[in-house]
Amino acid sequence: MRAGAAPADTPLALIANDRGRQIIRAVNEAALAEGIVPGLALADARARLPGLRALPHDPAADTACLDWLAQGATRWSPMVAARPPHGFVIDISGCAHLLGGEASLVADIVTRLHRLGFSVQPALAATPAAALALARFGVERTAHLPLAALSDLEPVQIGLRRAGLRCVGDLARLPRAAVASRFGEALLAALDALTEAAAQPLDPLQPAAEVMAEQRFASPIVQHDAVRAVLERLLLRCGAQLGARGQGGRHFALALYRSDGHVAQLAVDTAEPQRDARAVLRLFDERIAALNDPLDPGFGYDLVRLAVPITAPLDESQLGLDGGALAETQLSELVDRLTARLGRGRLRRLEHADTHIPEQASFLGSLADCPPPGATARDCPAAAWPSLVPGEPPARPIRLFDPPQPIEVLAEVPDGPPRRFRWRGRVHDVAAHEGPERIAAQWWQRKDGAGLTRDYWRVEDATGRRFWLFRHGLYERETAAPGWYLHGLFA
Amino acid sequence: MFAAPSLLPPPPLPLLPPLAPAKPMHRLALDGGRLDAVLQGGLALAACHEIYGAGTGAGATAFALMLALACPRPGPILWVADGWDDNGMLHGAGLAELGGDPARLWLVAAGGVVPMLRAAGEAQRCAALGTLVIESHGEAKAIDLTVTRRLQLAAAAHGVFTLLLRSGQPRPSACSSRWEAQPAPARQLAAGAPGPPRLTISLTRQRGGPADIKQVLEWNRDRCSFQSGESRHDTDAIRFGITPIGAGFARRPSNDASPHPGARAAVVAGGAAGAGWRRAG
Repeated sequence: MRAGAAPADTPLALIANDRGRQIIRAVNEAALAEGIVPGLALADARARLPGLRALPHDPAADTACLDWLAQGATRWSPMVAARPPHGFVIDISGCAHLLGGEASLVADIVTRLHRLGFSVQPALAATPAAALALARFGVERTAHLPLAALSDLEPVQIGLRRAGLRCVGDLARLPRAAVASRFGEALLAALDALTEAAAQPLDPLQPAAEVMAEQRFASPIVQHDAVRAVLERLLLRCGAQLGARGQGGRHFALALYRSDGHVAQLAVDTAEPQRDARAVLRLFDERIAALNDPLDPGFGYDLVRLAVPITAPLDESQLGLDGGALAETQLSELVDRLTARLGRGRLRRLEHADTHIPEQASFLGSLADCPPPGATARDCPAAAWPSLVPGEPPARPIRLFDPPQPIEVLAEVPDGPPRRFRWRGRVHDVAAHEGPERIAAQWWQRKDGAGLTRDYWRVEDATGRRFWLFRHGLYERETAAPGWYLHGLFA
Repeated sequence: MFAAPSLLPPPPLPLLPPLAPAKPMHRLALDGGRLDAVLQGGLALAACHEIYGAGTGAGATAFALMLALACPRPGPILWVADGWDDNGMLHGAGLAELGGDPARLWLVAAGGVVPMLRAAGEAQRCAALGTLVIESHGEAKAIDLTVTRRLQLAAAAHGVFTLLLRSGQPRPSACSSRWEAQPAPARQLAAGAPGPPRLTISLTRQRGGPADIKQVLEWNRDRCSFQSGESRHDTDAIRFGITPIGAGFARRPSNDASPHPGARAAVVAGGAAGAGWRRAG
């Protein structure tokens, strides 16, 4: 629980409404010392302690705060998982020596969290479940854990006590088969979670990157230039790691750990695998320039970490004599810079879908997803687009309305060409037309097999503007009064 | 006013030096005739040109796409817009029908005029890009003399063929040339079907060169090039191809059937390039 709402020595409780009663959900140490426990009604608690301060309980804020703490805890190890409601687990395998051993690591954690105003119960154990249980019950060794650590169910606990067991260590000494037959598999699984018998993968906030570099500072750095210089050094170190593996990064994540626990995270994507420190640094510059709220170093960063979670093979390349490879590099760098500046969703390319419904045949795909080939369509075969008949005028408009725009049309019934139409308040007289091009609805994709046929007309008005109109439905066979729509503008 | 060209006073010294005659490879021939003569061999590729479109802007869009397809530079066509307006989205099949490869077209919706200009500046530095099209909607007052001068200089320095699509009233700019494009009645095919796309193109300003020239161009998608078109309604345009300045064109007749009223009276046969000389800058 975070202090700050009240002095630490003032009894404080967080309350929530439960079926019309106000129930205490959480208390601070001062209230606990007065005998106020979670689960008590506020009225009863106030009867015991009239000066109790009560604030509404906000579980969402609790979760957000825990996530924030867990983000900050990635400074000790990249493997961190939040365990709501009150805990987080840090996998410190191979990390403790960086801070001079387990004891000083725990001391560092406790000091930093105390400084933020949290009360902490640290515990070290071989498995996440055991660590959580040790922290919860405040004992030193797994064997001394009470039976409540195994199961929350009252009948199970009573059964265990009747068997003469008092702690987890007693149960662990019994033959497994006997335990399983008497208390069930679930209890055995809970026991295995506390001991090292079963592997327990941690589900970390961020998957640990194989390529990573970090820099710690005894005194926090504040200046933007200093951060940039550190970033450049980290990029060079990551680039060397990537080079040794014959890989390049597709995603670079920078985490700036502020000394007050906040973590600022920035990431850039590249269209092609990249390990050139200068190019990636430029992307980070773009990214920082495009930030809505600039980076606030506060009291400074004392840890900067760069991770490359997504990598792809990247071989050393030799420049071609024709400069083709150079042009491709320049183009993919341009895509990277624009992506870093504007965001992935703003760079698009036209892609073809295998359908004859015009508004679905051409759609916007992401440019960053497929590596841009030089100028030619390597992964987007031209055969997908309609092949052209030499000498014919274009059959499809250059601009398409989706949805089509309703218009008023003067046309011969049942299926004559449009003679005059009104669009956006203006009347257009048709001077030339071609059609109809009949496009049926996709009846094979609909359960009822229905859908209206469209008759498309290419028309030119008296001033030379060319439009693509269609009649939605066939007279009498499909509908009594078909609507007319303008679907596109020709060149 | 419209005497023989020799009686005109010598053209005043241009504020900006006229573009040095470039090698023909660095110019894009349009109609192979008078328009190219006025442009000193064609549209300069390492330059920024602005295109104004009326109404839905379909004419300007089409002209920009055609220029980008006709441009001999390899590399993708980057289309940067401040956003997509209510005049429809660019259609892949339509681009394919113009003879282009839709995979060559990269679209960027920057979400505002300033991000659009920043993205354009970024793109102009990439010499591997074929054509850059910048499409702004509305007045876009941010695109002023300074911005266009910057675009022009960057295009000249890096060689990226830059087209600036604008709408509304023409505003001061330092672009290499200013065009107006609108659809023109097409040649009729059998059974009265409208033929290949035709555009009425007006060169209304050219830096250090003559301007106010109007031409009907027809797009040949099989060769990916323009050819001089003949208007169905307008025989003057057939005969002369060029309408000199002052022939009522400045008053911009709207979309009535005869786009050049008064043209007949003022046409100078042969329309020498010096006839419409104007200082630009």
